[in-house]
Amino acid sequence: MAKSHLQTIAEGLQSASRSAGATADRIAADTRVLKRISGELNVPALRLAVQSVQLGGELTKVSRLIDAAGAEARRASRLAMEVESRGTAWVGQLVASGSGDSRVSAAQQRQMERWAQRSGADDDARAAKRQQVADQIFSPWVAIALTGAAVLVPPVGAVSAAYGVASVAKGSADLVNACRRLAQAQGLDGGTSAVGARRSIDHSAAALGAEIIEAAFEAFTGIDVSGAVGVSADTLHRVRNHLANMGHPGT
Amino acid sequence: MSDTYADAVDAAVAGIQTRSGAEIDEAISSLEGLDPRLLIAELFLQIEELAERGDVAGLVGDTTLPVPREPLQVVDAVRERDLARVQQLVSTDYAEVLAALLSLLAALDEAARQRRKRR
Repeated sequence: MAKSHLQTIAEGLQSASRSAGATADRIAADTRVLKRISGELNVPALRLAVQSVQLGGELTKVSRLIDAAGAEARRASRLAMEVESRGTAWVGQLVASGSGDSRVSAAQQRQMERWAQRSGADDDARAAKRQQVADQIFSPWVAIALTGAAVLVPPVGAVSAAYGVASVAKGSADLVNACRRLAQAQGLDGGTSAVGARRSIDHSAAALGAEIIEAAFEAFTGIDVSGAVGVSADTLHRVRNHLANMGHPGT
Repeated sequence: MSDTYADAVDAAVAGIQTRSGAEIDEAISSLEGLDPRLLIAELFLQIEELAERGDVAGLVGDTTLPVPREPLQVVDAVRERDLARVQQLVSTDYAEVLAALLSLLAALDEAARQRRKRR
């Protein structure tokens, strides 16, 4: 969706205010370093040693410069924090003004309000939570697929057990990839030996397990989830038709 | 700053709320290419967040947007993260489940916003 002009401005302000906030943090850290250095310069033994070579005056000058730098750094840090605070307030005002601006569509306004509530850290936490929810929602399918596969081909049970419940909880994509790697690692040598035959069975079982898991998801989503293909235009066309059937305006 | 899934769902919901066929078309298209499971998860999360504010029945009663059948039961299933139950209530078809969840979220969100404005 195209951004509203207000969101473009607000994004710029928010970026600047966050940078200011980060700068304030860095300056505060530097200030602490300066303070430490200043403290080290005032160690009695050092002072005596410097004075003994008649450089006591120079040491005093350096010490005063560091103290002055520390004071400036604290002032700069306060100013940067004020930029961050004002920038955040301005962003809030811009978002609020969007609701009264006819150039901002309802969709853009809604998007802007939700966006303004989020921080970068929130986005990371949100992504992690979303993955957790996805794993929780879809784990029954993985469990069903594995159970079915284990009944059909016992070595698949060993494969799934080897990767453990943790793999199931982590998500089917991981387990699918693990099964594929296992199949590849075991190779296709088949051969006539018992080991070779066993390897073929294990390879087949791992591959079969992977296929069953993929099929379980594909049966629900109608989408090949083993690859990188996401929701397709065709699927969205059907979503659109279902919305129209529910009573929403048609295309 | 940018959350692709949240932004895409926000756009789709806002598009539905315009009640314009063309706007809905454009908004739904923003979902293309997303991971189908994470998309469902994001819808679950947003519906949960709305439901946590309470009075879901009231919001369903207030809305003028179409909602799926048994909307309160769908919300309960979402809060329990029971997709199988959602499928029983809606359909086993992914596209139909997606449409139902989008519609429900758009309706609840709009009703909640209108309530906030009236305060």
